[in-house]
Formats: sequence, structure tokens, C-alpha cells
Amino acid sequence: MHVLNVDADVKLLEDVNDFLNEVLVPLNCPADIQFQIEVALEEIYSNIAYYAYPNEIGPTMIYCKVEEEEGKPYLLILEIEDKGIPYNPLDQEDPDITLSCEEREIGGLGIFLVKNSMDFVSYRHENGANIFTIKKYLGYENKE
Amino acid sequence: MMTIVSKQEGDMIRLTVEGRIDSNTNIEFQEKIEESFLQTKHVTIDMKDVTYISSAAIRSILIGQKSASAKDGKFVIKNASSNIKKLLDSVGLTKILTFR
Repeated sequence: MHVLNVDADVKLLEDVNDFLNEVLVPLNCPADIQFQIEVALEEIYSNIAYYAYPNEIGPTMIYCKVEEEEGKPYLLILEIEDKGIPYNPLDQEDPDITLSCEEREIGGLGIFLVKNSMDFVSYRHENGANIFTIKKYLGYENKE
Repeated sequence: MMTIVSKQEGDMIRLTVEGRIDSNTNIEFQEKIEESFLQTKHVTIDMKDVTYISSAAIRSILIGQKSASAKDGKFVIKNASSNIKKLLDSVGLTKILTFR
């Protein structure tokens, strides 16, 4: 288990990425999958900075675990935890991505991206903490 | 890290971007797109050396496309990597945007 304790502040995004790189690079994770995981983690982390701690900078814990199957990295599990305002990003309604450019809303795409690109997403509120979990299979492309 | 070089080419502005467009660097990316559309109605973003974009960057790209549509101009994304195109596709933007 890899753990990062970091303030929720988008200025520290590089620390979050370095942490993810330390886990994924030695695994030879395919670049397209790493890209999707980076986007998802940035989205959740920046949401915490903006919405869980709107008026202050608060702590975030990121737990990262890699499950193996037959000795090969198989599944990445990330748990992102904060003690801010209870906030479930999954409550957001999905944007209608079939609309024309003029009708499209600017916001709301981030969490939609996370839901689409990860193999599992969940949110729970436990012991005063927001806990967001994402899982992603590492070895092969996401099913179309 | 991100850098943007802005260049006027006739009635078009070309923004050549290098690096990562994330929640931090997107502030400048969005500003440059908005500034460009104040000056012209045709903007091209060259993404050849862009290695990463987050959802923040996608918002700016949508703002660019909306600005172009409102002015009856063109907003072109050049040389985006397959990962970036895939990401834009997953939020339904490939049919709205123009790629070169």
C-alpha cells in the first residue's frame, strides 16, 4: 500500500502526480491507461480542493494499492479521503454530450470523465470523511 | 509546466502549446484562448507538444469552440495525440471540434 498525505491545494498537483508515477512507472503501465488515471485523480483531488475545503486548505490522504494476478499487476485501487464538507461528486447529473456546441454546458464534464474512464467508482461518507474510490484494470484497454 | 506561444498569421491566431494543461496551467490556457478571440475569429491550437490535458483544459477548449461559433469563425485543434483525442471523444467533443 502506498500512501500520500497532501494538502488539498491544486498548486500541489505535481506532488500527487509524482506519487502516482512512483507507483505506475515501475509497473510499465500502458501510457493510455496511465493518462486516464492521471486525469481521474486530478479531477477528484481538485474537486476536494474546490468543494470540500472551499474556504481553507485541508488535508487529503491518498491510498494506492495494486492487486496482482499470477504475479502480474492487474488492478489499481485508489482511495482519496478528505475531512471537508460532505460532498458526493457522483450526485452530479451527467452532461448531455449529444447536444450541439451552442447548447453544451461548460462544466460538469470532469466527473463524467472519471465515471467513463474508470472501471469502478464509488463514494461514501464515513467517520466524518469523504472517501472516493476508483479502480482501473492495468493490463488492457478499457472495454468499448 | 506549460508554455504558450501566440502568433498572428493573417486573420488567424495560432497558439502553440507545450507541456501539461492541468488545473493550474489551464488558467493561462483559457486566458490565451479568450484573448485571441477578442482579436480575431479564427484560432488554431497546435497541441503537438502537449503531453496531458485535464477536464479543466477541456472546458477551455469548449469555450474556444463556443467563441468561434458565436463569431462565425474557426477553432482548429492541430496535432493532438491519440490519448488527447480519445479523451475529447469520451465527452462527445470530437463531433463538435475540428481536428487537423
